[in-house]
Amino acid sequence: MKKIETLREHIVEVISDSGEGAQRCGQSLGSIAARMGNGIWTVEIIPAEIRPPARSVAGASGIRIRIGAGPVTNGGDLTDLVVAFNEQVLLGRVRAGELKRGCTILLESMWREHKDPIVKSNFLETLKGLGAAGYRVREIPMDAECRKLGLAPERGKNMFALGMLCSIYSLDLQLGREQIALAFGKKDRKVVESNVKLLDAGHAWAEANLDFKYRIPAQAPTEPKIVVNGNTALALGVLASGMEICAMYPITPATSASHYLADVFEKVGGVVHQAEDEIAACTFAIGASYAGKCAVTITSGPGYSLKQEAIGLAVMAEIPLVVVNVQRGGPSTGQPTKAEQGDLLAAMFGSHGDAPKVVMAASTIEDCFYSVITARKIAETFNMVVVVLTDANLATSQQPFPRPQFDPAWIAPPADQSAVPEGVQPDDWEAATGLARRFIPGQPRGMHALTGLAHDRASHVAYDPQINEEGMHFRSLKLAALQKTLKAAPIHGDAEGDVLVIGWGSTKGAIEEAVDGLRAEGARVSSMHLRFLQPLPPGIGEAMKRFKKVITIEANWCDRPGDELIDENNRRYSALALLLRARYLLDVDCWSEVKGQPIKPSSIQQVVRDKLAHASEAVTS
Amino acid sequence: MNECLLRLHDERFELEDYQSGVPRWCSGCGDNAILAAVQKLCRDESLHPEKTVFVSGIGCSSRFPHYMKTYGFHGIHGRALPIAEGVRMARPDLHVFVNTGDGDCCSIGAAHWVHAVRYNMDLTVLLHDNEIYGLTKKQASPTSPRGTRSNTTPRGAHLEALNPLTVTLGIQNVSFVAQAVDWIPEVLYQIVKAAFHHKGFSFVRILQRCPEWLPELFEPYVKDPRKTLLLKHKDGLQLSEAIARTYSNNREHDPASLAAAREMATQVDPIPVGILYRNEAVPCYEDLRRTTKVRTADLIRSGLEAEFDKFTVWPCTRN
Amino acid sequence: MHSELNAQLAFHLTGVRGAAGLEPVEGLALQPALLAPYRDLGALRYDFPLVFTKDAVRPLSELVDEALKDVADERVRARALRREREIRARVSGGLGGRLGSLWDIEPKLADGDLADCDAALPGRFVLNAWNRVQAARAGAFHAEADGLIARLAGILAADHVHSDAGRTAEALARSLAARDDSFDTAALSRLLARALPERRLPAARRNRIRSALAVLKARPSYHFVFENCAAALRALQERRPALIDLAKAMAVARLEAGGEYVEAVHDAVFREFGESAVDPALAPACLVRLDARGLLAPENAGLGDLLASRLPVKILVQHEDILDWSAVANTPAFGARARAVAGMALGLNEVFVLQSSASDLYRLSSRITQAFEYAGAALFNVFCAPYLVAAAAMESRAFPAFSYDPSAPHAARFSLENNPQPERDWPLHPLSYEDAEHQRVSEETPFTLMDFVACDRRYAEYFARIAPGRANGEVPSLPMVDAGNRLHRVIVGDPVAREARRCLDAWHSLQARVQRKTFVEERTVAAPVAAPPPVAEPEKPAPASDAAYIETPRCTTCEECVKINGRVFVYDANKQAHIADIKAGSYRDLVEAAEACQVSIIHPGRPLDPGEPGLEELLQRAAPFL
Repeated sequence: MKKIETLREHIVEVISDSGEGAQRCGQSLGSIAARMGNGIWTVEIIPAEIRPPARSVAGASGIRIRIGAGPVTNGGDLTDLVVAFNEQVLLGRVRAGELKRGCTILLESMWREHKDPIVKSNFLETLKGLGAAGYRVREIPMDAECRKLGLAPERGKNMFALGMLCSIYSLDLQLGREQIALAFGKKDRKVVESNVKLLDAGHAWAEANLDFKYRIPAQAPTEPKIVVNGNTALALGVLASGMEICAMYPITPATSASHYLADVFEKVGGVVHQAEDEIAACTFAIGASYAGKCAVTITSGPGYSLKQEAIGLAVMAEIPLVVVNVQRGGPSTGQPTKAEQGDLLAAMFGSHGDAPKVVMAASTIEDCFYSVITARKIAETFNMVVVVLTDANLATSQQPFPRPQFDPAWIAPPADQSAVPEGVQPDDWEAATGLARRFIPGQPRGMHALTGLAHDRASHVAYDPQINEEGMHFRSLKLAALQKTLKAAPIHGDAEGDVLVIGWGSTKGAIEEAVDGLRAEGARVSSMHLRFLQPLPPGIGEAMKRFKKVITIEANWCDRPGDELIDENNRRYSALALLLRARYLLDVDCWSEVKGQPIKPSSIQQVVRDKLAHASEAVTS
Repeated sequence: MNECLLRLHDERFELEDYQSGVPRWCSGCGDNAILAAVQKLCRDESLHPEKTVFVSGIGCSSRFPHYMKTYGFHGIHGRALPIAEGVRMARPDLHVFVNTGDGDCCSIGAAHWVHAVRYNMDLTVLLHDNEIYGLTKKQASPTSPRGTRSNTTPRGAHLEALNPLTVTLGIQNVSFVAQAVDWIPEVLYQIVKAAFHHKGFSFVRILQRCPEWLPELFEPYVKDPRKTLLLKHKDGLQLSEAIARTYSNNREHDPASLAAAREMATQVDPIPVGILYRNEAVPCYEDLRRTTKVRTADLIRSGLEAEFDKFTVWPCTRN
Repeated sequence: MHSELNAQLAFHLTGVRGAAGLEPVEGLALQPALLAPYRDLGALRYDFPLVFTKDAVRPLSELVDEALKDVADERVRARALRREREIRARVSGGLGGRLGSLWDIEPKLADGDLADCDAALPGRFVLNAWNRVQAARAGAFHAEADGLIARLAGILAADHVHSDAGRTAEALARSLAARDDSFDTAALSRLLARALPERRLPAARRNRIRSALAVLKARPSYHFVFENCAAALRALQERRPALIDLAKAMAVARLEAGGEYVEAVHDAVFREFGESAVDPALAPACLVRLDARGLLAPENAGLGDLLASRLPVKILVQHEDILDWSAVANTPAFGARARAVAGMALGLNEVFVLQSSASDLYRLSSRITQAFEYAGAALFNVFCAPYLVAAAAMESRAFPAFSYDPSAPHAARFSLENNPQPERDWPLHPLSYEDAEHQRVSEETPFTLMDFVACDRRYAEYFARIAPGRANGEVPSLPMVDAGNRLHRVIVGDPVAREARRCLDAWHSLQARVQRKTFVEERTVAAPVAAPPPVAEPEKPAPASDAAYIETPRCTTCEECVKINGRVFVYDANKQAHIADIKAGSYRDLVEAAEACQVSIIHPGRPLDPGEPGLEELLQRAAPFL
């Protein structure tokens, strides 16, 4: 009986050539751990190409699962344990610097005996290198063991690996079997049976041959939870919002949301329209919104750029519209599959002229679901465009969240077709808020020509200078009106201290974990995470003044102060920092990383520690 | 039974019921004739103004919705079609018209045009084709005849004109194509009417005079009836005696034949006027996509719960 | 010789079978010669047994043929056909059961209940068709009702959102899914209440929609099948009010859903709303299944009332004996009751009537469906008997098949098409036998009412066998065969012969109904059907060239002339210009307009005022437009 080491958390990776099922293995592991009551966060590791050559460093495909004793809010730092199906894909991860020093590697051993001498020598070489670099490498005869069962390894290895991992982390094997039944439920019984066989075999093998075993304590969960990635959550949100039309054009990484939606939307009477281009997708949604319920269009950076003129039309014509931008690396084609927060300013200020619109950012998987519902309601209440920002990190990560309790109030009501009272005009802007009730085709006495041209309250084209200003004035006022209904963003940590970290979007988990860590060390650090970027919620200025230093952590470019040419006169700040400085006239610093990878808590801690070092001088105000 | 109840208040409309404001088009502009024909159609079909929508892009033609006392959506350059498609998808109960120009439809909006034909959504599309950019003050458009002198082609347009009829007739799912001229109001009316009654994407190219920028362009055709070829057929245009007398140059053309339509569409002089092609059998995209389900909160709830079930991890009963 | 004829005549007229050469037929087990081939039905493949499968009623033979369509293996085919024969024999032996339990061989057949041609069949068959039609109708109706419910609910929901109740802090918090506390929904509620004052639907409309919704949601579903007229009448009476309410609610709902309800117009309509307005989909349909023997006075009256009700009541009257005896006189009244029932229905003119033997119901399936779909009442007059008897009844015109469809154009309403050789008096069939000299003889032989009666032991006394070759034209006789297939001549008593003549006369009057066809057709053809040609412009006499005029129909509404002088040139109802008041302008106006006109349809004519300055030059300019 080997001794079981108890851990607070562990980060596990399963790496293979694409198509070998590493991701299914990892997702199953995550689900099992979640059911045991562990916190989990899984991130897919996706090669850039669809089918990279086998055994190639660039072809690393797989998944990363962070399993914790408590809740887990992000992908965490470096990997503790890797299961690799060949040494080349493993090298990919080593070189990416993702593996912790001394991390445990469970490596398929078949290559040692491979008939191709080059393969064989590559394997042995790598093995030597890894050993020298201090990794704990274990060779596992996964292939051979699968053959013993008379089952094809290329199909079944992943479930064998799952069995091993269940043993290593002392997970309930029965849950594993149920998970398989769930995953392969659609296929026939034989498939399930053979996979269960593999699972059991892997478990038994690990029990017998591995000399280490861990337990990550878990508190048994009390409520059902949903395990989906951000894009699926987004699509579920569209379903729940009662919107009926989603117009889109394929673009990475947004498309998977539409894939899923296309599969399920029709069951509830919705339509996913794949338009001929991004502009058509946006204008189609605008047309649908104009004539009925608010519609949604889902895209990523390049597509968002293309939609800008149409979004301006929706602003000018005051048509409710939800635009989701699953951000990716930019500019231009940039890094289609990688995460970045580069579109904030484009979302706010994009389109020509003054085009006030609401911008909100989802910061968790759960948020991706609820934000769509919220956005729909705001859009229809204020007749505004609401941009919801997520990113590739949320899009491909999974984190369990409580199964939502459906509320019929989420659903958009059908288009109002009641007769318009005598004397009411299409743009009867209310003086204080700029709000007006839109007229929808079919409403008697509401007939008018909606236009993207400057127009008066009767929606008549007007070049009269006063009228143009009036329109601008009221369209802008609506943002202020919304702002008056927002609550101050909560502060994570104490309400005052040395450093306040401000973030938005998918970095929330990492920032708060970093802050918690630092506070545990006694540092006087707090953080604030913004859900609404436009309008900004109240209270930010006051909050910032209660800290000596304020810094934003963002995944969009800012000039590095260390650079020879960079000084206060030319430094380009990260998006949120720029906004905060401009609005509150405070010296808000920023730190950013644009590696396309989620920012790690440890990196944030490092940044804040430096900041704390110079936290002596007070904030200029 | 309901029919007769409805008939009880089946309102009679006058032209005035569809007129809004004074058109800001130049006097002599062919758009006036199109407006008159469409208002006449609305009256004769007793279209309820609140159930009728005119969607347009940008350009002289796209001012159209402002002059109709119906719902209208004056959008952005080139995007009238996708906007109208959205309206149609959301609202089967509305009558949706599209007013677009040669620049709007055949240049900046060309991509949408091609795909709109393929979607074959139930829209009545009027292409106001004056073969020049008017609102931006005389630049050559894709349909400007080669040699047309304009501010961007001072020595004459360099390329042969694009032919909207042959393009449309070349696209899969095309279901209705007609050509009219603004200067024969009776025929224009008949064609617009036929287009309105066609279920599907009815595309009407209307050759339209621009007295401001190209006063000479259609002069010979207006003056000499022989330069207009009227296409008549029992399933197409039917000529009144008066018209047949003035426009003696006419022939039978069966709108059922795509080949014949394509053949006819290549003609430019004399101008073929009439219904070139009609095919009621092409399915409409909205009918293929729109659900027959009754969209209730319960439907959404059950659909959503079913999806949640797929992704739910239930607290395990074992410790 | 002579005495023989007398003896035959005597029997024919009096029924006395005294003289020699006239033998009773009792005990000889004779049957009409033409039926000889059908003695062993089991060996034949015909429409029975029927199989009542889940979604249709099909003859077993058809199911088998379909299943064997692509089966090449002879052994399989033979086995299947053998099994079919066994099942047919079993069923005609009075044993029913499920096909599935008897058909355990390849190829597979759809399962279902087996039914033979018997007294129970018509009721069952008609009920089955009825259920299918009703299911479809109900499906369509409920689909529409559910759609309307959703749309009305939607109208109220949209109204609610704009109401203060829909904008309370709590309601907003829910619809914003504001779990994370980022909203001050109380503030939002105040803001909206102030910026967008509550705008509700008129109370009258809201209530109208609410009550229509209530009725639609609570719509009843009824049992529709009755075994006697009285019960049916009672049920229809009771249901009337509820159904009228439902019809009313549907009508209101349709109008409201389309925003078409105009109080000024429709309120009155719905106040007066009654029967007349109930649409067929909602009319209180029902199916009544009767046994002719039960049709005594009160039921008979009830039958009349139902048929005359103009409601979609469908009535099946089943006759188990058509060779019945007059109720009053002691004489046969063959088929009289059946004719009486059918006659009553036909007399009403608006009743769909379908008469047939049970043996042919399957062939009439589509007619039966039509009868159910018909908006008014329908009568199914059916003779139910074992297959051979039922078929013979039709063959002999004793119980002819016909249908009358009031919804069809007159020419096509009445049809005898399902009878054998409908154009003839009696159907003729070749009867071939071997005569005394062993010569093969074949003669065309009619199958008459007498043959049908001859099958019925009850009437044996009216038949007498005579020696071969002794038949003569004076006395009607039939060829019959015994169990040994030996041919016999049988003469017929006058009472039966008389019934045959009546029967034939009745058949002629049926044929006469069909004859009308031609005449009606002529009438309809006479009426013009071609659509009127498009309206031509009224031929205007070309005005004398000295009066100014405009070719108005060619005006393109280009604004030129009306801008030059809006009092002379005015648009008509089609927005095309005409000269309204020539005195309101100068000749110059006319000429300039003519020049400006895009389509040159303005003709200035001659100047009215000879004193107008510059006429010289104007006249020159006008020249091209005269």
